[in-house]
Amino acid sequence: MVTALALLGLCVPGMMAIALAMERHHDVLARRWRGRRARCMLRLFGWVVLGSALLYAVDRVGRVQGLILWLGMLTPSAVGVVGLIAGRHARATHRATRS
Amino acid sequence: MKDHFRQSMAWLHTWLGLLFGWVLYFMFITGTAGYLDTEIDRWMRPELPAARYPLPQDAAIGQAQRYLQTHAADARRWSITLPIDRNEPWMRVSWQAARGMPPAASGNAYLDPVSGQRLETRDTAGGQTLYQMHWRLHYLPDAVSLWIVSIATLVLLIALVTGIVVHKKILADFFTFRPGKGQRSWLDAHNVASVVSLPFQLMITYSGLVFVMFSFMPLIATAWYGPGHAGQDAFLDEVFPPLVSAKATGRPATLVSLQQVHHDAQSRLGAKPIGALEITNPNDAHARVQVVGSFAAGPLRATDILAYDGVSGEWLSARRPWQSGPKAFRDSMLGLHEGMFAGPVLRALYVLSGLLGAAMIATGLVLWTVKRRQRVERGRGTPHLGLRGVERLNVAVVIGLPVAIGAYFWANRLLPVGMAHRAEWEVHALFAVWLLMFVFAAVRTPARAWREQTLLAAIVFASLPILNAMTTPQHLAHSLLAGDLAMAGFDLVALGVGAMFFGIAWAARRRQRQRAPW
Repeated sequence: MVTALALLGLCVPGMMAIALAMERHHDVLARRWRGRRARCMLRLFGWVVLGSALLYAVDRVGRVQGLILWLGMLTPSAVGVVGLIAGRHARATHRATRS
Repeated sequence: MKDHFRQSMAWLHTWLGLLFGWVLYFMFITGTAGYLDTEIDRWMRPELPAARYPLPQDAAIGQAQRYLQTHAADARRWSITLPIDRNEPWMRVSWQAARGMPPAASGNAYLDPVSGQRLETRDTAGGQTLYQMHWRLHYLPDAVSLWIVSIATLVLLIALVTGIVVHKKILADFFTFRPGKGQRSWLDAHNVASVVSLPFQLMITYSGLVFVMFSFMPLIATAWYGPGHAGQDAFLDEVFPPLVSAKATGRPATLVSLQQVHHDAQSRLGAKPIGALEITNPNDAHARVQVVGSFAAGPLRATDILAYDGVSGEWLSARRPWQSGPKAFRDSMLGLHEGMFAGPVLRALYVLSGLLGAAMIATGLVLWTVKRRQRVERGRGTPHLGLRGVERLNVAVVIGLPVAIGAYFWANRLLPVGMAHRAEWEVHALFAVWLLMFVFAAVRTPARAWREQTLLAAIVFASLPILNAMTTPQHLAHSLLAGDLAMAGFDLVALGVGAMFFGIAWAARRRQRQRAPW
């Protein structure tokens, strides 16, 4: 259970960083965090965190089961990130139409 | 050239998906329920006590042998399944009658491992039948349903690969979902559901094909072993050689103490758990005992099997989990597909991925109709019979099937306990209600049918814990206090599923008020 929560705690931010580095979602960030450098850093951070999540899973439950658990964990993490970003986009358009 | 290729792949994806979408949706929903088969089994047998495992096995085996000796001394085969984990939470014995005896002479029972008494339960089809439906399409003959399921699985593999090909911006769209935009939103949902669970979908489809490979591609074996059943049997005997020969001599002999065999086997296997004992020709001079380890130790679905002489108790031979590379590959594919090794967290992930697979198919089916409906509303053409038919079939399958499964659980609590063929009637209830959902969808407009059936599904599931509390003493508070997690878990998941359908019904209502095009 602790392993699962820790993995989720790594995979969600990792995926979020990769998503925010993408052209389509980058403007969700506040203006001062945007830019080419920021995108590079986000992407690097995201992959490093996802990679360490894999290493952590392998360390905790073994090579084969660790890989399976990590792949499995990516699914809810991605679903969560999709939801969070869709929410941010919706709020942004809502604000834009009001002003 | 490239665009032409993509277009033809899109055509294949669309039409194969539509043609097989409904049967695949059925396979995904019932198959996903299969990851919770023993929990469903537990809920459908409320008479059983809360499961306790693992138990000291020695005394339990003694009780099982005594029970089988008293009730099935003449049987051809006995099997004792020990409670070691969530896959087998209770001690179970079963016996197969000698050849020529009526089928009623075979049977099975749950035993109390301490007292050796039979635990009486209602006659139920249980979670096992629900899970087996995903390859055994209930009313069809086995061979027919195997072919349908095999072809559908192959189609799914093609649909996944063509789906990846036609999805131009698979990486750029990875995290993209734009709600409230009609067709665009359905396409986004279809893409997200498929892409975030793609490793699982590819694994489950490919391993599904591995499951059926011998019957789906029989000609490969036929080329070497000759045609017909004789060739097939010779082939299977060579692929899966029996560890002990099964011929009875007809000379009676006293069966060895199974506790003694178990003791010896445990000393040979060390710390590895023992899951089952299989006894061939009990009480015959040629009795054989096989001690089987646990198939749930890891993704490789294979285990140690030790064979003993059933009279002298002498150790004869052993088979290790690893036989050869190709066999191990097949075993790990089957192991990954069934996920028996999965603990609670990984099991939840299996269920989530299965549901996303079902969502992938459902959104694909809806997308087909939304696209064409929009074209009609823009004044280009009239809603042809195909569109109207698919719209209605979609409701009856996507929402009607969950309603029918809910009805299956209702039947388990409402059918009289003493009823003849009770287990079969539970399944009849499922399919009768499903048929009713088709009629329902045929006579309502699709938009109303979506809303009403979703609401119905919500009510059917959300009220299951109440039904359980009214018909058994094992209500939610009781099972939580007693630590019966499977029972409490079922009630809680039913509430969750009900809440999810309420959510969908509410969203559909809001959407229709806004007259959004979908």
